[in-house]
Amino acid sequence: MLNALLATLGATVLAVVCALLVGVALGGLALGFLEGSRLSARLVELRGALPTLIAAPLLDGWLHLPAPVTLGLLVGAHQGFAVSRWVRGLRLLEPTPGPDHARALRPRRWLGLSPPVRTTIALCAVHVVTLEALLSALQLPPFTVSLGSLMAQALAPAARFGAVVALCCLFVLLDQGAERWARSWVGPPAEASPP
Amino acid sequence: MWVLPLLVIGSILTFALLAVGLPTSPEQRAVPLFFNPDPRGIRHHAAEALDALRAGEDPRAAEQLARLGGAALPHVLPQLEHLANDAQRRVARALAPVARRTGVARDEAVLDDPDASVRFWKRFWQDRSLDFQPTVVSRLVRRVAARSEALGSADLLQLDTYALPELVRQLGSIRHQNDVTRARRLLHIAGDITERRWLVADDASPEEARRAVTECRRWWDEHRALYTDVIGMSRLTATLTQTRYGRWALRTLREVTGLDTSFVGQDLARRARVTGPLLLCCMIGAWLLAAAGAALLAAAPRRGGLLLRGASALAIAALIPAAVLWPPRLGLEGAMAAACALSVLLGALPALHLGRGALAELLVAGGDKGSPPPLGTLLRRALAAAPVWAPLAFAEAITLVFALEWSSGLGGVGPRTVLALQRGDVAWLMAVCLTLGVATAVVQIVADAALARSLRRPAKAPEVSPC
Repeated sequence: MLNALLATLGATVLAVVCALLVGVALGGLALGFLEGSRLSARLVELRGALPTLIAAPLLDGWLHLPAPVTLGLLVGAHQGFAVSRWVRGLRLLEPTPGPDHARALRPRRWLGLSPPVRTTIALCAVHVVTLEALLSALQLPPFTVSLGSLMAQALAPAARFGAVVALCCLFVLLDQGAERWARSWVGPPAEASPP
Repeated sequence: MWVLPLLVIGSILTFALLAVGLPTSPEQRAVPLFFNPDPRGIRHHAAEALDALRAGEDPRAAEQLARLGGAALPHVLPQLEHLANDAQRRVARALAPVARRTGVARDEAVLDDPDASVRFWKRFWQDRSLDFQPTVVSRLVRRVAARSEALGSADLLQLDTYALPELVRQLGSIRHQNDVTRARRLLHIAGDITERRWLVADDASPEEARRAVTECRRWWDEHRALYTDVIGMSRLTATLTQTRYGRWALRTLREVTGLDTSFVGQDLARRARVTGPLLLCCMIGAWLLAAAGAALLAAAPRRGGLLLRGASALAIAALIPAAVLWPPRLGLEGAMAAACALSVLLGALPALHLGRGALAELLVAGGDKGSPPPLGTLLRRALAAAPVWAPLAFAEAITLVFALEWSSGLGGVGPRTVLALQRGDVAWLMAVCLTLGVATAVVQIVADAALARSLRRPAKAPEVSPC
């Protein structure tokens, strides 16, 4: 159980790091340049063309990396492309009340990033476990002992319940931790200057 | 304008990934993936067999020469004079099956006598070398196709595999009953030459005839290099067509243009009737839930957040095993209900995102942490953000729906895709990946149009307190 949890946790951490690096960089490009925006759109199409269920066995057959690394990289890239669209889309939708409020918003801009970041972390965890469970149930590579594969194979109710509780805790912890991290990183909100 | 080049680039990337990631047979691996620097044709294969027979007894070379058949004769028989006597006998003996197959020897006994056999082939080439010309073959095939099999089929059979390129070329497209008749005549001769069965019945419909023609052309894709010469421009094109991607691209192009029957396309269309409604259920359910989540957060920002986080955790923990991995054997209606339930997974997290993000930004913009913006403002914002989320949720929904189909025993795209992954079926996976890519592009284009429309609309500034 511990090994399985570690494998899933490793894959999740790798996925989160990969997703944030790819997502924030691509999101920045998409916001700053028209080409970046186009690149982001094409990558989202690539994401749709190669769902993780199809891409995971292919990546495993190509790279021959340990299963948690393969899953981490794959889910990270998938979620990273998603973050880039989030960042671009939400910035476009941002209300523009005026120069003073824009000034007040400036230090909080990174907080604007924090919802996609937090959701990405939670989504990465979910995605990794779902993928592990699906690949194990469908008998597709990469084969690994992980939280997801235990969930897929566990027949004893106690084992199944344990895996479900562990997954629930993992999600809440990750979500809570990510929120605290985002807040400590951004600092207290800036005061809006009076009009 | 960008769609076609992107589709080509996308297909190349996907094909490369499938080729390196899937299990392949040694025969497949022997063919280059994208570029063949040294394409080979009949000239090369015939010379190879001839060299081996010149050196001594070689059953494999003899077998290869018999297999190459009539197409090898223009490259082998002019060289016969220049070979040593023993080598001449070996070559003549290797060509004996060709003479028997085509019936060019009136007295087959000469083929058993080595010296008589050599004399026979020399004489044959003196008499018949003029028949081995592309223009002659083309005229013969045209005559058979247009009039009657009896008029030239015997001549074509004597030309053996030399006639194959023209026979396949003149199969053309099958749309009317006249085309069916032509296909029946040409396939009958091609089948006799290659010893394969591509039969078109007398009362066959154009669709049935097209299926037989498709099978013939597919065989030809694999064996073209054995019976055609690659010189000049054809050598240049062969560097691309004598590759795994080139063969797939040619076949797909014929299927897309309606020249060939697309077996994969027909199967995909049939299975999409199951997968499509499931995907739609998933997407609509997820979007409704995302909007409801944003409304919940607006109504009760603090408790709503807690509630939503709890709901998400429950959705994640309970729905994967309950709905994806261990569902009972469901019908389509049951699976659609399960897809709606699965959309909780897709909807809860984006709702968390949309709601929190919108709330945080509007609160900061308002400068007043204590008073949340009105419900209507938040809902409008959540709905406006939906286009951002839709193309992303589409990819997640595909994975979940595939798993749902597999576990509930529905005949959708999912189970066939899993089977293709296990068996290394590149054609199916290419069709699925390209279809999904195009579908995602369409969803994204529609979503971007909706986003642009919502941005063009005069933005209503949130209610901001002046102090």
